[in-house]
Amino acid sequence: MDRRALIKLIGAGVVTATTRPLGAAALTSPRLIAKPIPSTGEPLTVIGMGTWQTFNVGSDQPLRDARTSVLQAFFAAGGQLVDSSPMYGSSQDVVGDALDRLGHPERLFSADKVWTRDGDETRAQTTVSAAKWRIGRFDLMQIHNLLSWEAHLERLAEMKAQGEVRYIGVTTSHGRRHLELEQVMRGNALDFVQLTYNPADREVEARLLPLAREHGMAVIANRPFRGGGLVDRLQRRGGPLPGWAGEIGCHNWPQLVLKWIVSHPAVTCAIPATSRVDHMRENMGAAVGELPDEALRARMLEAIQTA
Amino acid sequence: MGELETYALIDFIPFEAEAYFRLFARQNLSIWPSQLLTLPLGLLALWLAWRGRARPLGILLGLCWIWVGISFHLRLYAELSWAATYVGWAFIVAGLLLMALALPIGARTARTSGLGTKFLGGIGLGLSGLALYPLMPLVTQLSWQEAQVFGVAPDATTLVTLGCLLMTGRPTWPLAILPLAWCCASGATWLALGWMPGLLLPVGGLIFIALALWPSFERPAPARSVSELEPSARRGETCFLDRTLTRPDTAGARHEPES
Repeated sequence: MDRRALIKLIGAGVVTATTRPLGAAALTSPRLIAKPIPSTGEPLTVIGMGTWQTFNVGSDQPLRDARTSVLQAFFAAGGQLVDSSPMYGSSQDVVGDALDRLGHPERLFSADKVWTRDGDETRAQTTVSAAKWRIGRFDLMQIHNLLSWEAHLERLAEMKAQGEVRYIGVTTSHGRRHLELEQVMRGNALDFVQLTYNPADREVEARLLPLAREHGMAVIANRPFRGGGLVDRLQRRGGPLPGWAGEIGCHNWPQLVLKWIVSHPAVTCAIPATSRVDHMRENMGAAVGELPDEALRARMLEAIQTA
Repeated sequence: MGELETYALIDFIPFEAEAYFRLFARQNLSIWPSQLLTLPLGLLALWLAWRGRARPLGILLGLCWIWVGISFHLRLYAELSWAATYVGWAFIVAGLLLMALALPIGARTARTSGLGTKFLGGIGLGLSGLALYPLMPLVTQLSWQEAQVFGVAPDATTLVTLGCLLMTGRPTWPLAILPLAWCCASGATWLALGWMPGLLLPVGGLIFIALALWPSFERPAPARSVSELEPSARRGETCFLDRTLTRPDTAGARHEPES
């Protein structure tokens, strides 16, 4: 039985489990939270990893070593989805180098983006990116910030049909171009959408998140800490966590924020970025334990907003 | 404005402060101990500016700019940001400009300001670039490896260059455009990365602009024959840093008062 088949079998159980109250499900650990990708049912650990800024260290060997340790901590804690882009400087190269040194962990779910105005460059840029990651193909290929999305989406659909990528999607960030994203989501078959969602940026709750559920699209939440500013504020002024946070396995503010994000029924995965191993372990702590129900989620939001 | 309003300055910086600081450490380690030469070279630049030695000054500064463009921007910084490639070429162009505008002239630039405001401002900027940047590890959390040195790091090189231009009295603006552009770009980068000592360069740029525009009330020079003028003016040549100084009525001015 190959890895994909095994994962799918496990995923079938996850789909059932996530429909329960406090919908959490186990993947490799009884306490690790995963959610199914709607289009296939394949489970995905709810905390992934972004690489914007943090993995852009060029050929600096000491910093590459440090980033390899971060990625190692991510996989050790059950992480799967790693997201990058050609726009992120040397991040793709650094991820590829780290994956090589870690022996290409089986649980990697590779997500990258097409970032070019040239609609004929979809396949070529994907090939270059895969070479930098040092992998054969990507699990997920997205269109970065909807750039030339019509042409790229057509190519990506062809590539998916031919097995060159497993999933396709589109991205936005900073709450931009939501109207256009809604049109794209209504008119196209997408596996994933990536957008900004955190306790301070909740515009997507009104239309885009319900739309993603309606159309069976997985949602990746980027900028979960608002570029770090949200967590900095909470840790500086937020004081101690509410007593009930421990009930859902939250031991610090970053975990409370992340767990609040991924407990939205439409959200599949959040992708915080960090260059520190201790922060990575903190972040991955949000993928353990239970997800809050709607009432507890409301209390979490209030605690974050009033902190 | 539209979408631009949703961006913060940090959204345009694709790396963390740690990676940027490490560029200076890597640069320093790769060329050590040649940094020991740069302090005397910087002092030499200031002396040449003071003495109005346009040709050697232009060559010295120009080579520094070209070296920084290649070794820092194109070799290291470009790994982190595609924009650094363009910046590297801009540094090379700035270096060529410094040399090109100096080489065919070969004339002494008049030491027009004496100890006036511009001259002193130029000395201050130049010494800041030479001394403050390398000493920043004393007052910040930088390591000595991450120190920025004239002729090696772009900010220190830019500040010394602006100081030299200012010391000559009336800087030639085409030579100042690219250094001032780097003041803006570097200042924005440091601001986004949250390292306030890095704002020394844009502050230096503002001081340069203010002093360069500072009105000079030159004492009318007594009418003299062409034979009394400097050799370059007699030949009708333009000066490196101040083309206006070749006018017969001001070419000989040495210590005009400034308001």
